[in-house]
Amino acid sequence: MSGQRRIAWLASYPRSGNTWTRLLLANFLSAAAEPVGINDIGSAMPNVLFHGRPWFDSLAGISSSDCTEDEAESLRPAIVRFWAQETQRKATPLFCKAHEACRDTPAGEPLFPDDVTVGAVYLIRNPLDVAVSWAFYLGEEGFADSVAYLNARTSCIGGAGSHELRQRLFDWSGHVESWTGAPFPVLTVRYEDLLADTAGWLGRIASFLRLEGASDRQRLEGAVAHSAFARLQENEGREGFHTRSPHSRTPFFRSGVAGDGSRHLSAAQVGDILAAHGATMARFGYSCRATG
Amino acid sequence: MVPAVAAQRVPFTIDADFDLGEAAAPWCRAHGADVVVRRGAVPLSLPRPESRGVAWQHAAGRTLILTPCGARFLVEGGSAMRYALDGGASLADLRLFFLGTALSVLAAQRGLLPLKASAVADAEDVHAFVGLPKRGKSASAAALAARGYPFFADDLLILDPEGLDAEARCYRCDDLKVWPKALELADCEKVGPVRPTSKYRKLYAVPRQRAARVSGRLRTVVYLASFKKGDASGDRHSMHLERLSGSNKVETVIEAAIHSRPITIAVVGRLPLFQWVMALSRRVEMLRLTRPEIPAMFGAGVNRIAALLSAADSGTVQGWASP
Repeated sequence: MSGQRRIAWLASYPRSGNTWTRLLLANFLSAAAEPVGINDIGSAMPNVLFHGRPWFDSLAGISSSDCTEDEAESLRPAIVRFWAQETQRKATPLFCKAHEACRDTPAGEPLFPDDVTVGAVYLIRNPLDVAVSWAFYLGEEGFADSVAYLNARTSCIGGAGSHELRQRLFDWSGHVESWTGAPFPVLTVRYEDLLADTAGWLGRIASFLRLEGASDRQRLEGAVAHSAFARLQENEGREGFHTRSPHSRTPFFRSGVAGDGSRHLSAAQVGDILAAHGATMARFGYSCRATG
Repeated sequence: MVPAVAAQRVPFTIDADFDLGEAAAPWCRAHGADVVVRRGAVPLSLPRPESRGVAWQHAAGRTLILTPCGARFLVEGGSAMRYALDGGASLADLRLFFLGTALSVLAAQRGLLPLKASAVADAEDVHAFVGLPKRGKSASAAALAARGYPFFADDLLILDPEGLDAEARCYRCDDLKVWPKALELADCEKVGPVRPTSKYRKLYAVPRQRAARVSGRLRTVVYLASFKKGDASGDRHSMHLERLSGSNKVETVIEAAIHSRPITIAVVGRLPLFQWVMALSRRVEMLRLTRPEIPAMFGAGVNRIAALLSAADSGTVQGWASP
């Protein structure tokens, strides 16, 4: 990995396949006979949550809970630069999961600094399916709140009183525009394409990130098999999953399919999402007739 | 109100030119103090730092702390501290970072072990709560104060490693701070904002009971967690309490209980710190409470801890066993 450009952002709006992609990469990098456990991604690759308070506190040396959200956010570019400089492990990029929009800090500096970035893999998923997946994740009775979240320009998650730092998402279209217009190389991957040809897209991701073995078909197929949805569900059923929301009534790895949105959302909810995001959906090949 | 505590022994005394607050009163002396804290010039960096993080540097017995609110501290040789306030930082901001990060660095420079913990008192004993950020440490201590265990410490617990073979003597120095939504859960009363900005929401609060003592014998450390690998019940109301032993105790303290951990490691050194933690883990009971982060489970978790502490008080050894 040349110079200080060591950070590979794995970015997505929430519930768009980020965790699955990290498991695919972890299994690809581990190339082991046994699958990487869903709670053990960090053992297979250098991997952090950009919004994690423990990571922030350990690199800042001060407690994020003593800071305002603006103060903490303004320190985060320096924190990721420090991580890129100080981490001893050399072989692969340093993977950083992020849900927030690609934007500036309150101090006017890019939150995702270009000078330490190898590139970003941006996962995009049909917002109709995102709304449904998010509602199940949060244990909501209906889908109104998650639809409202996707449509509000001020949406954010985490923050004061949460174990995650504040993450400003924008609305779904704003999130997509922010990442696909980022000032560093971005590989945009549709979740639906990743589902349809997992090994092929994993190979493209590995090649984009210049990972060793990116064209090794056997290795790619092995990682895909180790990350099969049924296997992840079995793993979660056996040992639980730390990322699952305590409010959720369903497993974290619930269905993983494409096209859930039109089956669960009301016509009015579908209409709201299409009205707000139709242009961006069309740009990325999503039908604006609610069939995914 | 906290009863008079002026005569109580503390590991060092402080002469500061600003108000440290009521809970820190036992540490304060107007003259002849061990540590003098004054407003003055504080550099933006140290020459040739031996170690550093994003908001701190350490070199030749001096530690520089740069907070994002504009308060800066230079802690020198365990006996002097200078601070500067830039960018609109207030005295309230100064006090918050002084009684947390800066005091923990000062303690480390003086050969003491700063723990990131809240705590309650139980006669001569102290039971502490540690954990990763936002796991309910302060709120749990405050809630236990409404169940017969006087509130003892918030955020920083200073441990004297000298006598660890005999007992784990620890000291407290700050008032209770909680998030607004914890006020009701923890049954405590709002005093006012910790920082004078609407962008910072933590509040000073008064618990139902407060310990008068400034020190106590650390007996129990409860590690608060939200996930236990292997808990696949899918039950959002499942809760686990288990006793830790051996290397699990050491790992837990190092991972989750050292205040300002990277700075403390730089100041104390890895080996001495590890030796202190080993000695501490031999001296105290350690429990891990895993509870879902939902308000409905908070009270049940606190009741579980209270029952366990009560069983231990009464000598019911089974009280310490894993459920």
